Amino acid sequence: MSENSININEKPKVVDDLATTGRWSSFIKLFAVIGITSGIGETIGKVTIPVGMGAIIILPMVFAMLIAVALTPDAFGKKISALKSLCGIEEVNLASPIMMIILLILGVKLGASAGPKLPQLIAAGPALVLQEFGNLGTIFIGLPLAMMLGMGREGFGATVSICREDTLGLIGERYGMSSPEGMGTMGTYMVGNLFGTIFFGLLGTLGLLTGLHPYALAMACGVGSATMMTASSQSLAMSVPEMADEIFAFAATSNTFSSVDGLYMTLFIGIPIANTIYKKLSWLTKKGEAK
Amino acid sequence: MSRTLNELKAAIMCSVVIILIAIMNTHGKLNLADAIVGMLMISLVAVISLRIKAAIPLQLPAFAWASLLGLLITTPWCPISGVFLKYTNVVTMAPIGTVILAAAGVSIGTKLDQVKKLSWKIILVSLVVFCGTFFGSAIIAHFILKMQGII
Repeated sequence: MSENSININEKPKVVDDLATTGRWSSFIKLFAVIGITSGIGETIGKVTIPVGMGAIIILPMVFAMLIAVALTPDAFGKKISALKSLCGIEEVNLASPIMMIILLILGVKLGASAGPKLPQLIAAGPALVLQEFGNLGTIFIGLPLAMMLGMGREGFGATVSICREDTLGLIGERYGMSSPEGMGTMGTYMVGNLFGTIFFGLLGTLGLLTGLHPYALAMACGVGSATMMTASSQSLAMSVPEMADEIFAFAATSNTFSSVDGLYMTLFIGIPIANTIYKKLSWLTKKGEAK
Repeated sequence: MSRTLNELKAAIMCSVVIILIAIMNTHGKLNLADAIVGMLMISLVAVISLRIKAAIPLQLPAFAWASLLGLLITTPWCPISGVFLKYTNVVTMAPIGTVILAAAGVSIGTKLDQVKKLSWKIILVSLVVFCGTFFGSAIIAHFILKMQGII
């Protein structure tokens, strides 16, 4: 207990949110909580629940997050006071800057996965380059809908892009992961993790009903994560088997494009456009809240 | 300077947890020495990106710098790309993702009421986001392929 009061007294003086002086106990507790919950997640492993043609995939990260939430002061910490001394307000507050550091590590990894592919992207055609701008389509459809449902800044975060790891990093750094924007992005990210495969599997097949050419749909298959791309391109190729080779090639190249330019697209175009639309439509949320 | 040191300390602590989880993720088949070298390299780039952000008055987030540095180092034209990839590829993205979400879980710990408010709406909105992105991309590709006479 005495440790806690020292930390609280020191806090206003600490400008550096990663300063270790006098906070080692918080650091150790937080990393213990992160390590144990991640470890439990990895021990449970990937769970695949087959649904029709696709599957709901629950990754270890989902378990890790749920258990971590359960340990916090707002959840079981309310009932079990011992949990509070392991994971209290200090640790929760420290989790945000620590998460930013891990996101940076992921950012380096994302960049390193894109670098080796740069030459093949330079050789790709104009359709593959320009269809990347279609990724912004979510802002024009998703954001108004989110606001009509009464979502505030959460709606901005949820619809600013397809919300993969790159967006998580950008929104997390600019607004903070536990901000409304951060939670929106996290929400779409989690839904993508859980249902992305099955939903993109459906899109691959249903897309044909729109009359769009299979090549164009193949490029669209690459907008999300690698698993989303695999699911949608496989179901598309199953529907049009004579074009399977082209479909896989277009989908994979488009996916590579998204993994390289997605971050910059979101940063320089997505976030500014979404902010403008949000301001223009802010009357929608007020109406939604009144209901 | 003390700030840089704290960032480096934090990055190394994160790396230790990531490596432990990576060992579990690979069921103990991780090349530990290479993984440590790789994570040290990544930590260094991460801290450099924070320093660049602080030094350059552009509105670019450190995350964008981290990713850009990662990309530049690993293009085939960069002389150290081979060495960098050899060590940094030992730890995959999966364990890093698990550790991030565990930290995210802790960080939203005092705001669960706000999470509850999102509820079913976020699922509906997400599915519309996926549709919007998918068809936005397909429609543009369709018209350009048509203009080129490919389809």
